[in-house]
Amino acid sequence: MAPEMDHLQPFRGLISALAVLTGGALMLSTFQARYADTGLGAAYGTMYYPRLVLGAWILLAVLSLVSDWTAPGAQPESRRWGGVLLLLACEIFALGIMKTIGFVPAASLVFVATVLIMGYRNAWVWVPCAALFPLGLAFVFDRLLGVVLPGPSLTGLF
Amino acid sequence: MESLGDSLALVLTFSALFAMVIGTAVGILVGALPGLGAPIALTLLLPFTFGLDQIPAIMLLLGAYAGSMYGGSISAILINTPGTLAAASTILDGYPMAVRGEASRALGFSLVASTFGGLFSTIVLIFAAPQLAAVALKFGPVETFATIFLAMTCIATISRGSMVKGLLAGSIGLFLATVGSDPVTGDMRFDFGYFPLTSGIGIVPVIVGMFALTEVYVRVLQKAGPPVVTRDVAGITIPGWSEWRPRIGLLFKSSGIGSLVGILPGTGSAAAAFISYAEAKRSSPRSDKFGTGEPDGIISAEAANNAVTGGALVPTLALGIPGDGVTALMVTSLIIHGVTPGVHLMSRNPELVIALFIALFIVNGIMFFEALLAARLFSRLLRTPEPLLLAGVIVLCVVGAYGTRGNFFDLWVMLVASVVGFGLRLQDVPLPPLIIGLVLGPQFELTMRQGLIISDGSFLAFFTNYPVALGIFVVTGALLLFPILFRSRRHRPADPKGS
Repeated sequence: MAPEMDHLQPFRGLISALAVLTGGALMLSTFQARYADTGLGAAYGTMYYPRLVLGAWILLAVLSLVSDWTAPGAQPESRRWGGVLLLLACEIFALGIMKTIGFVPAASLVFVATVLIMGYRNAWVWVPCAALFPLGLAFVFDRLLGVVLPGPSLTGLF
Repeated sequence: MESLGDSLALVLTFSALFAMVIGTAVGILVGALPGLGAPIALTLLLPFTFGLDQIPAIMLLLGAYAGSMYGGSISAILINTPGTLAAASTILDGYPMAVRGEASRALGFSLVASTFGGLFSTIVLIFAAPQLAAVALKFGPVETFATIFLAMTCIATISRGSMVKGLLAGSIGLFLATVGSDPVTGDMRFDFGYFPLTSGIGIVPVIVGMFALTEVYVRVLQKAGPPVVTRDVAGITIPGWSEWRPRIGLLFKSSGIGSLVGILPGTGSAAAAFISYAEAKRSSPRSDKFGTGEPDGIISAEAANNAVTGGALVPTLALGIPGDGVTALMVTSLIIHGVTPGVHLMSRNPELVIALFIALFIVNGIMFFEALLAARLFSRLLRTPEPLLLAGVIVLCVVGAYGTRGNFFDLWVMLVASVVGFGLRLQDVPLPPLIIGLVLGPQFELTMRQGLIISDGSFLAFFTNYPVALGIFVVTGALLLFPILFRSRRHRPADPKGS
């Protein structure tokens, strides 16, 4: 962990608690009826190994939770949480529409969102970058490397 | 000799050499950009390998790997910010030299030391990897299971953050590897009736999300710092022989430390650089000048962190066991391109292994000349606004996650992995053990279950019938217990009688 991350822990214990809950839920799912008849021919059933791993997961998550609670807590600081959430929302939106509108417009959208969220305002720079960078990438991958990118084909574009 | 000729023919092609030149340049540049480093350099270049043949693709990534290790020193010297954590100790003497107006000379010491460290560790790799593979060739499933268990424990316990969190990350990675079909019976597991999960969770989208996208979120989260002041540099000045002669021993020692630390799973280049720097400071006749711009400080750190590249590839190529996140990415990339690292690689595909060795030599040479010729350009590129760089990283992440399998579901996996990785980073959970768990998970499960079949379902036989495995398990147990015992001794209250 980089030293600059030390003060970014306003939710101490939350991730460990989520890990305990997720591990527990996954462990319960291994007892579903559909797994009862699986694993024919194996020394142990199909769920034997995952249960070992999940058991370790839950145990370690509980230990992590305990260590989080007993460790001295860091004071929450005002960080750009809104920026992260906004960026995440933009990414979800862009992925949601990428199949329909294609890679280039969706990638340009994410590019613009990132630049603006990070407070960069020089439009003479970011506008051409947001337009040309995804387009250039699409050209390189689609036409030169033969890697098809998500969404409508760009064959007609170049 | 026939293999050597075949290997030379593989490496000395235009496409392979061109890939090395580009990979090394990108590696130096990404390594120089503060906070990015080798994992992101490889992650960003990975999609470009999808359309390439096997050899150029691997050469591109090798170039990026070596280049990014050196690149970190450029920003450490010029802007007092390490491009990679591995270059953190380079700052201690590199930046004071730059402040004194000796930036070109500091970059020269760094470049020669990095190149020497890289070449030295390649020689170590050439001698050590085949020996290790020859031993491992005698391993059955139980010994292989024990070795992976040891490596995973090593990585989780030595990783930054607490041991419990490292092990938790490793267990999450091992679990993610179980999604999809059972490797023994073919039964579906944890697909929850959702078809895309039946093919398992892709390693590349998880790596892209956890390494690259997470880094972007962290940057967005942090408040903008003061604008970076880059010291102008006209070029690199290579110090003369009179300056090197008293430092040759240091160069060898630091490269040796780096290679050795690189071989140990989980330690990484930052640890190598710090250990080497500390040892140089302890033993150097100029130790009183350390921290004030003493070239020994730069040499010890840079030779060691570049020497990690060859060392880390020893267990990666010989056993198929990556020692850190970067080599996990290398293993994944090799598998994508039809090469499975491990004990059989040396015997079945010696041309390719020798080609990799030759390529590492060439890459270090290319790195030397590229840095020498383009130092001014690299220092200018450090001024690129961070928001533009990070926006570009996100777009490349999309291409990287999607391009491996052409599966749109992988983009959602990348996004979920980035959120999970971000949360884990905020809680000091190291991410490399998770990635390595995901990469090694299928082999770990398969060897364990094969061992159980051989031993009629008895775990006890793993300890009683296999002495080599028993030895490895003992070492693993010691590794787990040592930090606990060490901590309890350290926290024991002082004897009131003073005895």
